[in-house]
Amino acid sequence: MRITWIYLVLMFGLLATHSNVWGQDTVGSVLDSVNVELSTDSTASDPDQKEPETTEIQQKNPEENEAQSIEETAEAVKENVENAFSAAYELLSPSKILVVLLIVLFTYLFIRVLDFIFGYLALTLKRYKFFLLRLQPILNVILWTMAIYSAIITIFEENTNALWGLTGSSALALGFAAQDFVKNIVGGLMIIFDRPFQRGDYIRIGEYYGVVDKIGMRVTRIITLDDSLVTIPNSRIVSDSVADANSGLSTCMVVVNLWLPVQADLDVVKKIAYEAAITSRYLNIDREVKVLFFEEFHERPVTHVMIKAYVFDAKYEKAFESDVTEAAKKALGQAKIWQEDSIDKSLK
Amino acid sequence: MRGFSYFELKATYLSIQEIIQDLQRRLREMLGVDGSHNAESLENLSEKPEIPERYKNLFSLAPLEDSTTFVNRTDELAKLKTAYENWTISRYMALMVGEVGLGTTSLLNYIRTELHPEAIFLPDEGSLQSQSQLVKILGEALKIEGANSLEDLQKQLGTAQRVIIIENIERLFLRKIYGFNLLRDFLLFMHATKDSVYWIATINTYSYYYLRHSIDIASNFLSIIQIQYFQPKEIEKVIMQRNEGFELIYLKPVKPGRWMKWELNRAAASKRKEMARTYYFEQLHSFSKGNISRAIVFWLNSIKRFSENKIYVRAFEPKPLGQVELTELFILEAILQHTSLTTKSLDDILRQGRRSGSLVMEHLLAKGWISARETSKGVKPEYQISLMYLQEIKERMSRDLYRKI
Repeated sequence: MRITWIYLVLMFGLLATHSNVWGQDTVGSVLDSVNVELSTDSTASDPDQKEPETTEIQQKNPEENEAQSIEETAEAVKENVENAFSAAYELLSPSKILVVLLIVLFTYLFIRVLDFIFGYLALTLKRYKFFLLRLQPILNVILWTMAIYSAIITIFEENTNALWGLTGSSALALGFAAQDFVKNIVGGLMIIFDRPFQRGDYIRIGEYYGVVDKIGMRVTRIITLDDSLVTIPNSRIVSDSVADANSGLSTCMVVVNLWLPVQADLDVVKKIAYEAAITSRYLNIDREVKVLFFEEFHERPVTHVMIKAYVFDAKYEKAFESDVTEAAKKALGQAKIWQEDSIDKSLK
Repeated sequence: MRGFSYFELKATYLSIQEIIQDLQRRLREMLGVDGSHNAESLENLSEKPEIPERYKNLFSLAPLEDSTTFVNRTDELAKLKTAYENWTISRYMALMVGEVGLGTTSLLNYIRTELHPEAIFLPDEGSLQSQSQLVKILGEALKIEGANSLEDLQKQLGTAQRVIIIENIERLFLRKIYGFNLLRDFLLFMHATKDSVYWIATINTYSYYYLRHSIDIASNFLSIIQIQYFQPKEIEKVIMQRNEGFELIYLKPVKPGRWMKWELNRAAASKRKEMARTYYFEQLHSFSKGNISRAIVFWLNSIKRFSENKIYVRAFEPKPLGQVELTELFILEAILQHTSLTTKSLDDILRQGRRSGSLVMEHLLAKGWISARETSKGVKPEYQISLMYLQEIKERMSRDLYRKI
């Protein structure tokens, strides 16, 4: 939230400054000169000096006066257009465009190289995988900010008026025409700096559950358990509630549920459930395993067995669940917990 | 700020080493100068010497029977004496925890001959799956006939004071549902008889790590003695002791580093010998990491020539472990947890169909990561982790499975 406020205050300040500057007639020279010249004529702004000349002109033949006036206006317009082109050329000279393009290109390439390095390090230094994946988007934002700042400085140099003009216009344009885009960007910044989750985490947003593959400025991509790539706009993530299964850790808790007949021998069930979990290859043995019992009613009374354990890597969450369920079910079957007559008895 | 544990730092250091090695290898491949494998294999072929049996026997990995060759284990023996004194007061059992290859059996042999000559010794003769097997072994050792269960043994044991040493207590469990029953029964038996029996049990470090978290095995023992890794000087002493009567010539490494090359060039002949020896033992300690059996493996693989009483040695360059798939790592972990496993037991542990275990074991055998273990029963072979790769496999488990070993 703090970031949003800072951002809003900054934007508001920017707009306020912009409107102030506009009022004091210090807008960009190009727009300014063109506007003034095209409105009436060039003499309108200085009545004291031009007054006698006007009187003299009025005494001449009106046709000549008109011709002269048109000629003068045309010349003034020509001069101003030339000035505008020259100013625009100065502002966006080929050398500057080249420099800006190079800045963008080098930043892009540098970020790609960093992405590769981070990816490689995250694979190799597995213990620091989540720290590295957390660091990467922050670094990307910093690099892009620096690149954009460098590009702006390169284009506008000392010309702050033009810069303010552009900022104001951009803010207005973004505010009205690209609201969703801005929302997503703000959302992206919030995700990166507020860190409700990070790359590599297993999260649930709405109906989607999967591993965070990429946190972009506009969208976040998650890979679901059925290997689909889901792209979610950042604005939605910020406004929705997000459940994070592992919060930047490799391990995560997995809950395995079993429903048994009410008269099942709980001692036997507890032993089987516990041993099914502690013998699984995916278990994080350093964390505690718990077996809990609940009485429930699903068409008929049942004993709900909940096995809570941790996997060593969140990506094996479902594999662990399946492994424990399979082993427990087999053992419970061998212990005659599944006997049909016992289910019938529970029904009666 | 969260602190970093020893395991994390160790894993990071090893990972960085691996990254550097990987980058070096890629660079060599890119430049087309990667001829190291050929050179190594050619050298091995041409220089593989024939080592006489009498010399091989000196470096046998079998446990020491002769206490005169036993390397001092002062700390462990002192702790064991204290544990015995504690038992006379509080009647608690002692557990010795040590890595494979640290000389635990030799230590037990020393205890049997020097500390408790009257002790009954139950050696590790393979995995036990049923109570009847255990009762039979215990009955034979205690000279009790007609016992059918642990309760029978308990009744017939009497009140005479005894010392019983059981090697590798982890052989009583199998990581499967109901696989802990025998171990639990035996622990109960130990508790029931601890008034008259001073129990000393040993366990492999990795099994202890697993059983401590899964069934809290540690709570059954008041004295838990960690068998320490050997210091470099002690390992050197063992190697030199076994080489008595032989002249050792340390060859300079095939590819000495620049610094070493420069040092060798400017050093006098006597100094060169000393430098080669120092370099050799540096490599040996780096490989063995305090494990005496791994040091012996390194020594035997370093012998390049054997002529009468002269032995030429050059630091052995072990093959890297290479890529280990997750399924392979699970299997290696299961083997390490049980010290050794049969293919059938492996199938039970991994909850997979029959024959899968055999196929995987053959594959791992071919890679040299595991080796067949001789068992006195000799019915089905058990497979254990090869000492050559023990350290690397442990590091992979720590890195890829996040095990804190």
